[in-house]
Amino acid sequence: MTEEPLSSAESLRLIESMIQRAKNQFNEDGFLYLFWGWLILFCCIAEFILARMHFAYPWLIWLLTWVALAYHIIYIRRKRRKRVVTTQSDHFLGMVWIAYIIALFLMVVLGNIYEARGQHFWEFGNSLLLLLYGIPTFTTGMVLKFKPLWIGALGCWTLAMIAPFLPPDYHDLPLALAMIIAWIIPGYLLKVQHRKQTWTSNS
Amino acid sequence: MDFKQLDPILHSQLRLAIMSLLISVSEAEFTFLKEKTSATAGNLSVQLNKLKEAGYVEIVKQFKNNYPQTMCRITPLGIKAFEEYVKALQTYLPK
Repeated sequence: MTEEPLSSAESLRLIESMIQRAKNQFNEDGFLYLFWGWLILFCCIAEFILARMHFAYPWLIWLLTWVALAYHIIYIRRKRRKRVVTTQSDHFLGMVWIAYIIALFLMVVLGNIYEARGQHFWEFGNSLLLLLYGIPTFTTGMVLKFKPLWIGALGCWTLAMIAPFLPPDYHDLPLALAMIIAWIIPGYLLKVQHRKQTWTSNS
Repeated sequence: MDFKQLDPILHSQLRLAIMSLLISVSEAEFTFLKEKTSATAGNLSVQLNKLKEAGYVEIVKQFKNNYPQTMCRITPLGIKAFEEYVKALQTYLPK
């Protein structure tokens, strides 16, 4: 770039092009969507099969999510160290996902309190989980202008409305389907988009 | 028609490019600015220092994985100056 004086039109063109370059920075590589999508899908199917086999505590499979959460924290810390730019939307979406994780954690605690007091929370708990999954997925899709994510969120909310009409034994299945449409498919598409961006900026 | 005075600190190609990038993000590393502006490291460093002296950007030097890292972010004064610069530019445009 030269240090020659700029005309007002050149100044505006420069501002516009730089803002556009910064805006096109797409930091989401889809890894965490794939990681959690496959993990929750596995837990749902495993719980469903274990329950069919009359295993006493099929829900024990969900303890895997605590190990995954520990890995998630390590992964985020490493990723943050590698990042060369943080956009306003990265910051905002980070907060949305933190709020979601807190709400999810509190919901699991509340569910267990209700169950301990003899109320059958988990009979409709999966519908609530699906409603909750939809919120950060929809927000991320809208902020990143990434259609597969917000369509996936609409899928979560539709499945939340269908879940009460299924027999209680089948409640893991809408959750498993939601993982495929809201996190796994968008996760692979995000990965492709991120690779394309990396390839374009390196070429 | 009143033509407003353009801020000489911002009325330079590279400094304006840096400010336009920084106004769009929360913070950016020196290497990101270098890549997006296609400037040389030396020139970028000089212009960043001018912006820093004017109080328009904040530069934090730290270590990341044992390598030095320079993080840059726009200050509230920088945001105000940038907004005023854009407003001033508009007075020069044909209506």
